[in-house]
Amino acid sequence: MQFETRTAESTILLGERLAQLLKPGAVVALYGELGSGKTTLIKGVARGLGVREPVRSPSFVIITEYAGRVPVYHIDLYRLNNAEEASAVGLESYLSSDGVCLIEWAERAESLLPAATIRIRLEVIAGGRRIEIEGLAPELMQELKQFG
Amino acid sequence: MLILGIETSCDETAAAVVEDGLSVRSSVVSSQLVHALYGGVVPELAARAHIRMIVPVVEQALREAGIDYAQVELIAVTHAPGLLGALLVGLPFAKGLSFSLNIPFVGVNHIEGHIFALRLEYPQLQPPYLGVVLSGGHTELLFVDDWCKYQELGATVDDACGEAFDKVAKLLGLPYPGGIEIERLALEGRPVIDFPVADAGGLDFSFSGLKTAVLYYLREHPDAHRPDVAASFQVAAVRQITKRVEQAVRQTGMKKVGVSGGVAANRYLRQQLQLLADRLGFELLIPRPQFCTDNAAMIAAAGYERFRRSGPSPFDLPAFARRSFAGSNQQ
Repeated sequence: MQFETRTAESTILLGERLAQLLKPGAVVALYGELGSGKTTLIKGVARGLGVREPVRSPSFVIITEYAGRVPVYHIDLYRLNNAEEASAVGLESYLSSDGVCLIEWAERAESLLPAATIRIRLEVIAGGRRIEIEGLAPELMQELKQFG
Repeated sequence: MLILGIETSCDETAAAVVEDGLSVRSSVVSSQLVHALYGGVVPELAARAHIRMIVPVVEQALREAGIDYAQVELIAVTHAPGLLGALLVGLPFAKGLSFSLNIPFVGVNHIEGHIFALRLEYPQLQPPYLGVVLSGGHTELLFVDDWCKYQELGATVDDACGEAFDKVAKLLGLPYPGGIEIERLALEGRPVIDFPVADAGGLDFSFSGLKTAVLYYLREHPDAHRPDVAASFQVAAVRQITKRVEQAVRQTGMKKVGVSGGVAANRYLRQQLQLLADRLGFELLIPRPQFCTDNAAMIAAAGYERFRRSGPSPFDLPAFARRSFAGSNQQ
């Protein structure tokens, strides 16, 4: 399903709504170039999951943990090259936890992602962002769609 | 007192020997050793690299200081914030060493280490001063009330300052690490593009919008003169920093500003901060580059002061990936 957002605020809003549909253990993989809005969308998801503090880019530390209504793991594989390096920083233990994993640059560790991964592709388009979400159960997709 | 400092919070495995918290006897950073020991590049991020490097790096630091394990009197180690898997190499190593040598150890906050880099360069420096930490992972404005007593005045709400340099370098097709590449390219260009100077509110920083502005500009102007883009980006990034420092100096009335972290090596930033210092009449203090970038000497210096004030850390001291910096006051 595709969404188009015009502003960072509306990207955050979409993230907040998506958060309502995520269950403990969910893995959300984000794909998109630098500046395509991955961290912005995650700010919204984290807020929707009850995280109160500011969500900062985890590029440097790779994994940041927040306390929401479930543990929220904001993971950024930007500085890693492949699944082996992601494994070396302990990615799998986060993927199999009861928290929600939000993974930027997920393509760097594609082979480690579970089958039920929700995939989000972000793209810069004229006047905003195109955000494509797949992997949500059909009834949840329907719910998200209603938010329009 | 001879202090062994150990730092494994991110990419670098580092160890240093510092005497009485002020005098650096040795300071070893793994990237200097990698080639010599392994004849190639190890995956720099893997915690496994820390595991491989920690013993050779510590022993090299002892050797360069001309001492052996038995002469170490205190171990200082970074326990927060950073990559958890990386912190969990240095911290248990330090605890084990402390136990086996029967000497105390003390946990240090990495950002506090950056503050003590100032003291290594300027041993006479006395707080209070305004601390500015600018690196690939941190952007902090701190009121340093006393050694080991800080108040966070502002921090980034999204990307760290050095991260913005690295990511914009990537957009410009420059190699990593991007800070130095941007600085070099900017010298060939002119800041003719008006990138926005973010206002995150109060004394906070924001660099994510600037990154996006550069992205948009490059999309709309595929033939843009790259040196001009680099120069314009650098001006906007540095202007945000000088603006916040100016605000903070005016608010606190501080007469001394200490800047550390890897970005402090940027010459344009130093130049602009010096102009600001001359205009507002404060003293600008910036340590030499090897104290600015991640190192263990600053951790040893901070650990010494912590130990002097509140004794050793308990053996159950945990590692934290993230920690509110102000929280370290209660440590």
